[in-house]
Amino acid sequence: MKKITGQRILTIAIVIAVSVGLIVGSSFFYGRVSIPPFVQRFSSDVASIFGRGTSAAATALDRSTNSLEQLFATYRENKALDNKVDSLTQQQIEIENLRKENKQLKANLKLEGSLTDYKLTSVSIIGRSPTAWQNQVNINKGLNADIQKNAPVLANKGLVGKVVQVSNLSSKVELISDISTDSDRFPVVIELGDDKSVNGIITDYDTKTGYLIMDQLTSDEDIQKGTDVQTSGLGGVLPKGLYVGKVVKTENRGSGIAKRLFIRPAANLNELSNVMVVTGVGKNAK
Amino acid sequence: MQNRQYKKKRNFFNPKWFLPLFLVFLVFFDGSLMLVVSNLVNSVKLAILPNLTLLFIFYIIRFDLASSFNFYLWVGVIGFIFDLYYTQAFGTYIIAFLFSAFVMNYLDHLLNKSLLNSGLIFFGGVVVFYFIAVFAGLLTNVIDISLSQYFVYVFLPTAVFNLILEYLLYMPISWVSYEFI
Repeated sequence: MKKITGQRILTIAIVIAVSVGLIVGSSFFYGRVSIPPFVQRFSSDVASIFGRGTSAAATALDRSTNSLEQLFATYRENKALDNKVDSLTQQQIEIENLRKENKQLKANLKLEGSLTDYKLTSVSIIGRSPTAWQNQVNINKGLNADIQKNAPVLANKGLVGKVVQVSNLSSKVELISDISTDSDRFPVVIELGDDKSVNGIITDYDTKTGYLIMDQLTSDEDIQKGTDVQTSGLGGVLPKGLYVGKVVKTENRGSGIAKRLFIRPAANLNELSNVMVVTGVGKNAK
Repeated sequence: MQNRQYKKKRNFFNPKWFLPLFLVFLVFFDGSLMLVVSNLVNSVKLAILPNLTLLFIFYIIRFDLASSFNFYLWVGVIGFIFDLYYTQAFGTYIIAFLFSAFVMNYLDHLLNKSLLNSGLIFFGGVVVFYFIAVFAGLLTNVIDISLSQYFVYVFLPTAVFNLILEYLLYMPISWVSYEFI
């Protein structure tokens, strides 16, 4: 057994101090920069190229094992979708007319761009963080596709997260299920009709049920199950009107404490392979 | 020693290069595996985190392959890549990989080479690894989960899953490892 000498204790103390300093310092630094330094962007890009290689092999394996299950699912979906097609055609015409009218009205008001204008870029997920609380994924596009920090990320049905770090060829996306305390909150709204709406913030994620938790409600209105929740555009980071999910449960927490809502997210956050990133909001959408 | 009857072979895999590159591959493969199996592991409401990188660091120690390349330097590089690719800050996983490799190496010298002990040594590494990860999370204020929840829903399932993998792969890896000795 080796003796514990003063020099050994000093070495251990220095190692611990350097370790703590490195963790706290880098966390503080990266929380405040919008684009990481060139060296890190370059290293991240090199790493993402390796990541794409391994992800391609793993995804191919996953696809081949799931193909039969997907075939049956497609058959069921096809039957359900047949019934929706007719009503969608009618809605499509209506949307097209409203879009034209909206464009004309904006031109009359000389409004160059609003939070409802945005464009989407399709990206692939190349890896998922194998850590406990940082629910993050890596995507295969970055500054090269005009992706910016804080850009919202959508699956085909709605909001699933936002970009937290951008390199030249890849980015990191924090999912809305991320339970770390430094993850930013999403401002959302529930439209109740008759010009009534309830604003709030997505503050938490229930890992047991997979529901998002909406808190800090601005009104005590009665909200029914199944009501749609969308982004409010407040704060100016996220565009307005991105679908987030449906209300599944309301929880009253006693007098004097505002109630909170449980929301089923629009997409299964554990089955993501391709997503869309909002690359321009307002004027930048053009 | 019977093990040492295997002579050094200049085979198609030079451990000096093959082992570091294989560890780098595993860092990315852990992320791809997490992506593929995330739905399966989350369906049981537990956070099971695959950690093949740490498992193979353990095998390298266990089967005396650490001396065939600059082991600790490469473990540090692995931690650096892990931090770079999966987190937004540096430090946590560089330190977690280095410390757990150090602890596993120390325990490996302390205990005899039985199959049961191999599990104990790897478990020691897993404890150190996830303890440092949770400590760093508390330090940087990114954790919003109680320690008891973390222990039940994250640490235990992850440790059990990786221990099962360790015992399952032990013999096949030991056969392959003789190729490098």
